[in-house]
Amino acid sequence: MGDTKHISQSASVVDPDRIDRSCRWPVVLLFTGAMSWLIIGLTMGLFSSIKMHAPGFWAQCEWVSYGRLRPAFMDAVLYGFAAQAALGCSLWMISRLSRVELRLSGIAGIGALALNAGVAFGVLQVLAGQTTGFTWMEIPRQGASIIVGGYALVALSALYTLHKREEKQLYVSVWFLLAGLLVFPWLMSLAYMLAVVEPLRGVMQAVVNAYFVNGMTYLWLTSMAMAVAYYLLPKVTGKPLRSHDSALLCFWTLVVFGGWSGLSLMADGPLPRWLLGVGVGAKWLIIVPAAAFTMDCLYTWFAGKTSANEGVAWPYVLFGSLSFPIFVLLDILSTIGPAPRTLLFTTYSQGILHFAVFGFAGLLFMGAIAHIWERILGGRFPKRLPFIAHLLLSLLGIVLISGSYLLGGVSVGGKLADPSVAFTAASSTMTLFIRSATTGYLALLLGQIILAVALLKSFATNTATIRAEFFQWCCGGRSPGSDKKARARA
Amino acid sequence: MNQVPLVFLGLVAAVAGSFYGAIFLPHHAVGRAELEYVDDTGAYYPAPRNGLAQQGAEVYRAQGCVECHTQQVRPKTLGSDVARGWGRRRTIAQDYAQDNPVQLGSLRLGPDLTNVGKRQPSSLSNLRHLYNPRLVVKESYMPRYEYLFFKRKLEANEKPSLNALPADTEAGYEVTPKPQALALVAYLQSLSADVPLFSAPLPVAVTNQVKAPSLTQKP
Ligand code: HEC
Repeated sequence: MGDTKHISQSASVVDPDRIDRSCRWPVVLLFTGAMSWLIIGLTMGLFSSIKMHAPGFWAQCEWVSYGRLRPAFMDAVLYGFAAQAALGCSLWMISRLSRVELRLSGIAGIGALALNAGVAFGVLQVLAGQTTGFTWMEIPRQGASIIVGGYALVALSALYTLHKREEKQLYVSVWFLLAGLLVFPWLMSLAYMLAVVEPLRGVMQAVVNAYFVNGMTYLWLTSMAMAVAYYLLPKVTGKPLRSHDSALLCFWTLVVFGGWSGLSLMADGPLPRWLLGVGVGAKWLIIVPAAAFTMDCLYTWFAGKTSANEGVAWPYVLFGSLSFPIFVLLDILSTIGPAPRTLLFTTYSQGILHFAVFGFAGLLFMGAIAHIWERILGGRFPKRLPFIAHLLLSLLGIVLISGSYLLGGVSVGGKLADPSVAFTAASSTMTLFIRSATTGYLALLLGQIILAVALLKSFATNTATIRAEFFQWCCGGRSPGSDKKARARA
Repeated sequence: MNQVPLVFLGLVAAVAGSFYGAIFLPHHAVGRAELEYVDDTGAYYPAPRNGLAQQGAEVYRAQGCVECHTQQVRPKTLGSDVARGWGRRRTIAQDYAQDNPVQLGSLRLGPDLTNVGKRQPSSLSNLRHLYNPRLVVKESYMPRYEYLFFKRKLEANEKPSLNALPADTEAGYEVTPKPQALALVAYLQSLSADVPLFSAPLPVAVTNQVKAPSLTQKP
């Protein structure tokens, strides 16, 4: 049931080139926005990390104090980078897998612009001190509404395209994309409703926040990244997916357990123990989708002869997919037995989150951006070197950041568990780890700049045609003339 | 077969189920927690914050102090919070009934602040610590909140005004707190979850103490 099999049979339906061209502008818009926000976000992350070992650094400036810069960094990365990268991939993958041209591409474009405006507005609001005070929901309701609205417009275009599909068989990526497209607006509106607009009383606000953070990680981000992985795996290996059934097992177990595990983030918090137990139990069960996914990846990758490892995306897919089981295991480990006693409230959880956002989802999205960018702009990247550099720097950055936070959490947590060690004595060991995290942010940021330059360069090689077509798209859709011109070029 | 509606319905069911488990059940268990009448203090707990402290809570939120500080004490058997003196009992849902937004926090880059109002009762030392934490704790990496203070260079032989921080805060300068700093300190002083509750009693019960411990007592 792999997607590759079908393409050869029914290639006559719609020319993939036409599909690619139909997605071009909304996807280029989304990916450009995504890379820009990733760079802006990582710059803020780097600054916030520097401020930890140099508290005097820019201390007079209220807007960049640690408590504002840090949430602004995470929000820019989540809503600016991850959301836009995921949406760009969805538009393209849904058109390709449905074998139709993208519908409502103008609406998708407007949605992308709105999303960017919302993130910009929201990040400024956070820096100005209007944060809501809830993790990952720091952006106040105005900015958040624009973000949800923009996201919904892009999702509408994707869903309408799916509705008009020619290919009746749903490939498993589409399942994950459906989840990702629907869960984001739902989680955002629900969580803002219950914690910000009409807040529930007392500790329930924290419960809603925990549900949101957990849902965004396991339901939204993971679904989107898995859609990419399941799509690209057969592409980069040239082999069909091992088993459709195990992919579906992965899907259903993920959407069930991924939501229930929300309360595990409140570990040892001010709630009855049995409730926390439910959350932790659900989190352990995420081992099931993780195992199914890992088996699919390993089998597809290593069994049989790999025919086509060309293209730039394959190492991203390899490292990105294999990050998922590591991420899940690290997360589960921190809830087993006595582990929370030392690891809770340390930077360990930060290490996990960075690993999930940059290592697992981030690498997969970056690989997909490179893969899709080539196709929608009709031209292979002339050089591999920037991508190798980007990959190496990103891997270095992720290992340094996550590694320092994880090890720092274990080491400081171990000291704090002993009440005879003074707090400052324990926390001063953290400085060393924060320094190496700073180096990690720097490497990650450099890598992204290299990738952005490589993407821009390939964009600039045929600016004249692209500009003409872009204006045509802005002035009311794709005229037949532009299609002909583009085909002549190709 | 058209599978999209199937996937859609399955998704809605899964997500609705998780909503039930992760939000409705807890709401059922703790969301309706009422204020509790405490015999020992003769008042309902928790009491609402006074105006200045409530403004300070807004400053606390706006500055993102929650990025580094938690406000929750774990049970004695789980971690060293009680042994460290961050609280004499664990915190339970009731302690947060008057907070909005609830700033539970999930990362302890700094100490827990649940009971900091009892631990650090002095306004002056709190203000000095906010202005420059390294004046109080040499190796602290807490950010300096200089911008919550007015800072003016003193003329030769000029005396700083009465509400200025002590002269050793910043030599040659007059440092006076802005209203936000005063509100923030009032909020910090209001932080305390130290009243014995039915489901979270204080360990002092064995001494047959009847009155609530005085607010200045060291934990
Ligand atoms: C970068 C992380 C960080 C941020 C942000 C931060 N703090 Fe701290 N805080 C610390 C550290 C580390 C300590 C322990 C060393 C010390 O006392 O300075 C501390 C200590 C404290 C203490 C003393 C606690 C005690 O037990 O004596 C108070 C009070 C405090 N912080 C309040 C605040 C307030 C209010 C804010 C927001 C305006 C804030 N902190 C923001 C890291 C932070």
